[in-house]
Amino acid sequence: MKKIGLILGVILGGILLCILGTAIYLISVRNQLLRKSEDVKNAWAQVENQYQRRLDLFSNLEQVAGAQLAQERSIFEMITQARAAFAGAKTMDEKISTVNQYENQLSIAVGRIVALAESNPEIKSSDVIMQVIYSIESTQNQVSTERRRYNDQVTEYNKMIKVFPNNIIASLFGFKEEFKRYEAEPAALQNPNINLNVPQD
Amino acid sequence: MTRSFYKKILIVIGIVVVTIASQGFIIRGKENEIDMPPPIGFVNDFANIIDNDQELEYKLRSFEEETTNEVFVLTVTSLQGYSIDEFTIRLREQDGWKIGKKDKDNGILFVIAPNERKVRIDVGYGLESVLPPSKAGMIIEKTIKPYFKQDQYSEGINAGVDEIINTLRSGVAVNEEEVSEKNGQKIFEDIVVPLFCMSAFFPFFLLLVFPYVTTLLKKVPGYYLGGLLGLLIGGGVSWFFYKDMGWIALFSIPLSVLAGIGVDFISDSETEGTRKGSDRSSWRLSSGGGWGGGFSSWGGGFSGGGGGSSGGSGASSGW
Repeated sequence: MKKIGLILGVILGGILLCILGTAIYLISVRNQLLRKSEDVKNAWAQVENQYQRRLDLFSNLEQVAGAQLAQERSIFEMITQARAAFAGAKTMDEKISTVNQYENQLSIAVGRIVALAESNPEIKSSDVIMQVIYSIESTQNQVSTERRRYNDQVTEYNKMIKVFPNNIIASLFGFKEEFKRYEAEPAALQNPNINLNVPQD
Repeated sequence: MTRSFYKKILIVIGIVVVTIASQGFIIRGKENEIDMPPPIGFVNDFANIIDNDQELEYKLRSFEEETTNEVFVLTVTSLQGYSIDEFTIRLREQDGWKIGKKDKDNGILFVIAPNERKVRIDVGYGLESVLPPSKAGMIIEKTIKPYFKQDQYSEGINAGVDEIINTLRSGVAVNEEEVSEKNGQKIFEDIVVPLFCMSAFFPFFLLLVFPYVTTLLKKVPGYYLGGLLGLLIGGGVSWFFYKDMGWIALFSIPLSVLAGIGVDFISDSETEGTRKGSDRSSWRLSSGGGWGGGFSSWGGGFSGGGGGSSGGSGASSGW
């Protein structure tokens, strides 16, 4: 009799432990998903910062070198458009599509400006203009670095909520695939040749 | 000592081996994309163009001791097909090359590729406002390139390093907000999590040590109780580990269930066997197997950079 009581107690305890274990498991998956989606948002914030910085730097460039770059009016008009579109975009999705829309043009603009600076001795001898150009060139690298990290985070998150049993738990807690990746850049732009100096021999 | 007792011990050892082996999945090393050994010091003159390595090394080390800023010099014979920007940023994500202190991101990587005639000063997040790209670009233009154009690499590198150091000295440490936020996170991951894990260890330790628990395990037929205890503890551990490892931490649940069953196995076997020191040592082995892998993610001393990261700020140029 005593033995049966002990066995019953153990089984009951076992069931309780199972429930507890499952609960811990579910909560831990949920927290992971939350944390991952936070990571994605943080990574996006970095992209956004760099993108905004690049747009601002273009405006600086227009101020310091507008005269020398007068023939590049179209670039600065495009920048103005991009700035307005970016400022107007409210949600993350809108911002991403704005960035996607202007990204290629901006990359080309960076390349053009740098090439111009290279060929124009008036620009090259101006420290102020050169500093802005170095800054723009750096933002270009920072944008692509942060964008790569953002895409990695999104991939990781999207993978995570698709894997069994996470997919069930994700739908249980209302997680869905909500993050867009950046579109891949055309092959020609993946390695824009934007070095300030060509070999001088 | 019956034959079946040895058999059980063998099974338990088998479980432990499988457990340890599967922990290998948890410690996923990130593959390196750039073929580069870890740094040998602050100065890594793989292209052999610096005349005064030792002197420069000493200068950069004392600068690091004084300010904690890590300035690394790297000369390479090849950029391995990458642009110098790509090369640098990818390298800085690799082990040993995470230059700068982890909580400050105050590292600078000065890369010189004489064959490609490219140079880059790559600035970690924490120093972006002290040494912005415009400033780094001017150092390259005014200080470094005039030497490089005459193939005076050693002179150019030394002058460049001096300029970088001067700029950092005159600058102020930046972005307090970001730094302190990261600090908080590090404290959590480096101290709180291991503490919790230790406390998850503790009941398991009790389970092994307290005769009462083993007696209970012995009394209950089968190995369910051990498994359940393992489940509970494994759930707890994965709960505290997930921050570091992601979903893969859930591995520790089945693993600890196995370990728990193993413990149960042994305590049952005790009825047949005798209480000897060797039995106890295999208990410890079986429990250690379940958790060992998790802890190794904290282990390992640093070599090279202090774990800082860079967002690709800086300046590059050719000559």
